Amino acid sequence: MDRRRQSWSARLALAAFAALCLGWLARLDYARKISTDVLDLIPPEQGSPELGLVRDLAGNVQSRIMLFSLANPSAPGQPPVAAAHAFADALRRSPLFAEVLPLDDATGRDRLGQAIFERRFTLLLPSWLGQKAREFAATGLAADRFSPWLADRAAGALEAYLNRPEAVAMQEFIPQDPLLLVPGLLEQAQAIGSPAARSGGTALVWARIAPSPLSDAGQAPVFAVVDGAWAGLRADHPGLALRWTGVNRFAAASRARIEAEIKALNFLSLIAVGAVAVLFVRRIWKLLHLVPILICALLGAWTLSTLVFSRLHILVFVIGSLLSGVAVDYAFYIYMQPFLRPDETYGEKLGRLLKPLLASCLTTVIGFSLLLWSDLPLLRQVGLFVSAGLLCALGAAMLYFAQLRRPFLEGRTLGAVGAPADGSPPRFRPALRALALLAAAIAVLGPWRLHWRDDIRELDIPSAELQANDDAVRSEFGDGSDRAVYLTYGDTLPAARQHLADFLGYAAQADPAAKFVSLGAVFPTEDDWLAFPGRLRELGGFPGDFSSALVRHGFTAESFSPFFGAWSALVEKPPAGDYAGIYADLAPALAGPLGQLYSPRPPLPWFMTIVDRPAGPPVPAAFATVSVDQLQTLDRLFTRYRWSALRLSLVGLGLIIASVFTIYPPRRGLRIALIPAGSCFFVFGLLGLLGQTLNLFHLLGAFLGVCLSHNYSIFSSDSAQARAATPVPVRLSALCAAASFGVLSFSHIPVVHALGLTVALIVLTALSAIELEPLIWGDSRPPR
Amino acid sequence: MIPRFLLLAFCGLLPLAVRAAPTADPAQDPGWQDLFRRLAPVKNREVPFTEERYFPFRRTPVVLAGVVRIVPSRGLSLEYRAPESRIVVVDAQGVLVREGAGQRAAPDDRRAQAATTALGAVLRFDPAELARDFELSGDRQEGGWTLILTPRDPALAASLHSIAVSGSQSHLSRIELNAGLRIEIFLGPAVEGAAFTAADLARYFR
Repeated sequence: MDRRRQSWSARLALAAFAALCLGWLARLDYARKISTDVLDLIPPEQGSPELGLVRDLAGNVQSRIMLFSLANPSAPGQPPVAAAHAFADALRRSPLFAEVLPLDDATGRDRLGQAIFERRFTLLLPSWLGQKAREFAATGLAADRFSPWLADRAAGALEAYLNRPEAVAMQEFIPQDPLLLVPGLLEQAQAIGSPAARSGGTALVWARIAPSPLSDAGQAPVFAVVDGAWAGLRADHPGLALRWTGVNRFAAASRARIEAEIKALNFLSLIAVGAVAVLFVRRIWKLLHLVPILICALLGAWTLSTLVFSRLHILVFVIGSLLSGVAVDYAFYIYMQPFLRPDETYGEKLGRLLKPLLASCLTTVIGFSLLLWSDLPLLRQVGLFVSAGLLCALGAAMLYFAQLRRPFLEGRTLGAVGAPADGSPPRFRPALRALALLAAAIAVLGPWRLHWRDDIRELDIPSAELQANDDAVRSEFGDGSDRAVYLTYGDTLPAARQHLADFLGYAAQADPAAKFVSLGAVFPTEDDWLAFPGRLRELGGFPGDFSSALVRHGFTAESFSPFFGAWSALVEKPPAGDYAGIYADLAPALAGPLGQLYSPRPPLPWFMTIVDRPAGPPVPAAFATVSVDQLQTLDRLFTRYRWSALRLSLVGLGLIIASVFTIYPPRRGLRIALIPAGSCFFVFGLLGLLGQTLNLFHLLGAFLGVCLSHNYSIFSSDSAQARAATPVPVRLSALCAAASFGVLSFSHIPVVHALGLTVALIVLTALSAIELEPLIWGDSRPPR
Repeated sequence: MIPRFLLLAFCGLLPLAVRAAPTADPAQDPGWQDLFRRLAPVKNREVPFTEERYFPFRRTPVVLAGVVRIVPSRGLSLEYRAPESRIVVVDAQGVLVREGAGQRAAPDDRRAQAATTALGAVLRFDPAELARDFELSGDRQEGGWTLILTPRDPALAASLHSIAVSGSQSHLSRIELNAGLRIEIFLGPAVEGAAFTAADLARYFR
């Protein structure tokens, strides 16, 4: 092919590729395609019920809740209740707010109290009878003694109850409820108190927004409504102070932070890479030839990723932008290799370089492709993004330089590091060997001292100010470190309720002094519900027995005629019907925050339990109960992902090494494999000895670092064989990568920080190994 | 519900009996003002009491006995000793019940908050505050006196009809609470300036 035709063919191919990619990318709805929701980083199910709970809690209802706290600093201790109502009214006027409730408003609680009282024989009596039947069974008495035994126990409990302070308040209900079904429930609830009881001088407003807090509609427009309502309120009550929180505030801050970080880090990376380039390249403007290649690599990565995945997290693009650090290697290598002869064509030069280029690119792609088998969507997305980007980078580099007449970028060789010009052994060789031994010891021993800790919050962007505000507001609403919240779940509603009963029994035994409150206790277990009609039948003589027992305990039995009338009606027509029906029946009374205390919906119904003390050790798996703290970190789950990523990385590394040994002779293959692997273990060893705590993303960074080092190792293979100085493209490439990833290590985004730090350290270690390798092994020939 | 309970606590604070017909406005009357000044606790106070609760569905009243403790800077504590041991703390933070090793706050209730505020006013024997939350009437004859408090808040008044506090000289001796059921509290001689150790304060107050 003549040069002109070759040039136009390459140009056309690149233009067609760019047009196709741009055409596809222009059609995308980025608001739907790119997510900032941390939950999109974790798999939908994967057999982990914890994830189902997190999704249900955070994705559906809980994340839409916003909490407002109003105070009047000039009148501490006096909640500005009227102002809170006015504020709530203003929020309610916006369709963006689906539900707004001032928490001093007892309407909801009264409605629930009334609904439970009216349904006490359907909801509470089956559990009460079931519990008493189990206690009776433990006595070993004959079955026909159950009714008198029960009557005496109930009358005795009622007599004791009258000594309690709340008996005075409940006295008008007692003739209808002498079994104390409702007072027993109230007593449990009082053990925890209520938000308003803990709020001191603040008036609290609870709200649920209609749009997702992670969408645009759930952020700026909602904030505008809040600002408007607050401005209106301040006009009438200038001295008031407002604090508020919601997931949307975190999401908006997180998005702003990521955008700002991306801009700042990219700019600083560019400066750092430019500074390195100035050191090695004579005509620096010629580096502009690398820009189209990087653009093609990123276009290819974006296009293929968005084609394959229906939704991608923004972090994929943040991490994926690091792809430039790897993609530029091929361009450097092709561009900075001199032509061997004046008449050598580009095709001949490329043919000469093809083996290291393909070896480097394909082995790295194989490694990253393995991430496609990860359980973690983020890793799958990064794996595809980087693999696609690398292939496009190599293809684009090969095509792009085909357009140029004689593509060659002259670099400064700078000679071999530390080698005397006369070829004699360097004086510091013993010291270098000692250092190499020390590094080897660190690489072998250090990793054993590593501490791993995985936390889903590493994926999010920390905001200390917002977090402090959130903690303060939530504390006023009753959340606090002095109490624990557990979620008990099951595959079905009856299973979830039975797990709750088992968990409450276990918890009461484990810590008898602790108080547990769960809305689930309002509902009977399915076993008690199904046994209820039979138990009622067995208690045919109970009214008579109970009447006598009441008299014996000092009561006037005729005062309880409302109860006896209701009991007769119940025995005549016991409650029947679907177990789920009792939940549906009470649902209308569970508005506002009360509705957040359980979820009867499939696929994973759950009940919340609040305990008046901090969370203890994890609950045994048999109880299907997990603390919300545990859910917030998802640490166990992420540890599983880390091990999965580690296995995949090790398999990838094995494949890379195997490929190298297939392509290169054993001695060269060993060198190529040892440099990246040794650098990686050295860095992990160093971090281990320094007491650093690592996570999944350090591991991912290590994989990226190993792939980069692997490139340098291959590209320097010929020069190492020839005892020549390290090739300029390798030095330039490695230092550019170290500089750009080093910049990333200053990121406030934990994931980016972990990746940047790990990659930079591994790349620098690998480059040092490549540079110092001849001095350590003792080849006394002078460097060329 | 809770207001009655709170006012029961309140009753434990104010000793003594009432039977005479209300005739004067204690909030304005200088004689009552002087009595309030003398009743207002300026030092720690400890008073034994007996409480009788007349439930309509029981043949005999439920009788409880214990000790009321007042620390002006902290609030009021009712220690029930018989038939069961229980401590009820009433202070600026609300109402707290201690039983065995545990404790629980009284449930949040708008009416309960109003009653707690009223209780604070009563504790201070501030006639202006009492007059704000209650209609006051009273009678004083030959050293004996009776004060009747009727809640101004209709929601509170629906469950607590009135409180009658009576005594002689500057001694509160009886409280009668009309809250659907009748509760009578008889107070023994008060120990003014009672010394409470740090352990006492931690146990009986918060």
